Amino acid sequence: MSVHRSREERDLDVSLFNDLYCQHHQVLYAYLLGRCSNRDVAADLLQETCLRLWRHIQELRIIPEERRRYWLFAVARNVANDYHRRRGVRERHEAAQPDRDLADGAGDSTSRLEQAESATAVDVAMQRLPEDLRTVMTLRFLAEMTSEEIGQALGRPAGTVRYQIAKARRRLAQELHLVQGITSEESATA
Amino acid sequence: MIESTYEVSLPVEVEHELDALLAGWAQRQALPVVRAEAIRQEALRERQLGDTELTYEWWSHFFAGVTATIRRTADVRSYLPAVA
Repeated sequence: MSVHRSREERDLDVSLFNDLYCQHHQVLYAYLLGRCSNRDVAADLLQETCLRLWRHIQELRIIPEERRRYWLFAVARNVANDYHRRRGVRERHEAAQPDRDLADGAGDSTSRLEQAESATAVDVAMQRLPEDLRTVMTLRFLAEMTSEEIGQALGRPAGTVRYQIAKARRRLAQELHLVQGITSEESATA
Repeated sequence: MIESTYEVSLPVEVEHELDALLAGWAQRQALPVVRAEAIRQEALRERQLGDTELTYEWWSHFFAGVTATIRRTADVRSYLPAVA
């Protein structure tokens, strides 16, 4: 009877963990950032995702390599859902304090350089997007995933992802005053 | 037909400007390499603590022994009145 796992088994676990982390940590972080819109929280949630990955590392060995990313996304989704649940409970007891990280310094930019102002404006505009649109945008532009990959990761058709990206881009363009006007239909769906 | 609203794409120059702004946003929001490495190291450290845990096989054997001991103890108690 083995009392502890063998050194070889543990080395295999570490090797698999390192491979998975190197391949997927950026996309998982992008997903978590989209879900919570706060860099520090997203990093903490990534760490929680890694710990859950460790607990199930032996199960991952039998999952085909091409499916592992989607298993990891499922774990990250649960971690993000847990975060929102905890946050919801906390906010019912405290005054609502929205995460400001994506828009750090948004309120005191009057004397900033134009470049810094536009950077802040983009950060604020991204933060104002609804969570589902923000998540597809972080996966598209931060993780550089295709619509098909995003669709598979989030469990929605690639066409829906393309539609959401187009919708988010239009909203951002309007928020940043790159285009004028908004149709009544977009207002209705906003 | 809400979807048709979005078939009208943004002007090309707006698309380009937006792409540039989003590229800058992505650079600012990316997880720094140092932070990514710290997260990996922390996860490995946590797991090393977990490696000192005993295996399922060991615990299964242990609890089987405990259960058998409890059963024997219960049996002894059932004899005690007769012995007394």
